[in-house]
Amino acid sequence: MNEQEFIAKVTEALDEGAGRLTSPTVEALRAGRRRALAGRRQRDAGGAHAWVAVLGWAHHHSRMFWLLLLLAVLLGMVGYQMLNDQDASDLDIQLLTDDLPPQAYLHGDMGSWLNAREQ
Amino acid sequence: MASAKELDEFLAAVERRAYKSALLALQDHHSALDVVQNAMLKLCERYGERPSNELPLIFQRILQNAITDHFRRAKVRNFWTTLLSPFKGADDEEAGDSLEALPGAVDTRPGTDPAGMAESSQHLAVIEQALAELPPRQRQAFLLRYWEEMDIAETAKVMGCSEGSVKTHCFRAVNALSTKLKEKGIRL
Repeated sequence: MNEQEFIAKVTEALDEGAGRLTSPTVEALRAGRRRALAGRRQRDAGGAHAWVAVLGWAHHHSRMFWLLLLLAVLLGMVGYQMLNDQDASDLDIQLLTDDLPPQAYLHGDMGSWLNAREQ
Repeated sequence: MASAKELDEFLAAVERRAYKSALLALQDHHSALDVVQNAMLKLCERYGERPSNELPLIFQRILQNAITDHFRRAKVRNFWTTLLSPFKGADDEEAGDSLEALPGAVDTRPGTDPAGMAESSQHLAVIEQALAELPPRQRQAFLLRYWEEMDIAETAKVMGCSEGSVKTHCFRAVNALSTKLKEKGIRL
């Protein structure tokens, strides 16, 4: 008998053993599975309930909801702008503190000079 | 994302094998049940939203970690028990060693062919005993690679070792198992 046949026989025997578990064991496994799945359903239901609660609140306090939404959008825009400003000022600092004057970048032959320098 | 039905079907398909793997490693019916139930709970709670094709690998990883954790806890518990009760009888240590004596190991109810069933049960018990006697890493590699039908890369991921180590463990496990079964007079 070669190795593959031996392995197949052993796993076949293991399958047979798994199929012959006593009914209390099978029942305990089934109960464990149901408990695990019930826990997941409860969590999903909990998440759904939270969304329902938020939507219900938004329905009853529509003016406040729109105001809060507008505030959130405004805050987001301000934050984004501040982030961009920070990037731009970093670039300005780099340009101004560089040995090369900023006007040099506007010169037509700047690109070819940089390429020649790299080579 | 795996639906509740997919999760249920997946767990129903693997729970018996998972229990047997845990039983072979832990040699205790209640511990094996606890470990499998906790692994199922963890999979549903933390990884239930993963795609269904990822579930086998994740579940095996959770199960193997749970078995290792159980060993660690038992080691610490045994250390303190030994330290605190130096006069413990030797009989207690030998109780429940045999895999055949475990309540969930094999269903010995009479079947249609009693002689065949008896011989088959005997063979099965010897094979399981031989597997239980393998070094833990070899048994783990053998079960994952050949019983769970994982490829070498997946087995290595679950075991947290290199693919080369998996090949070595599998090779040694097959040789050791074959030798043990021959010694016990089992011809497959």
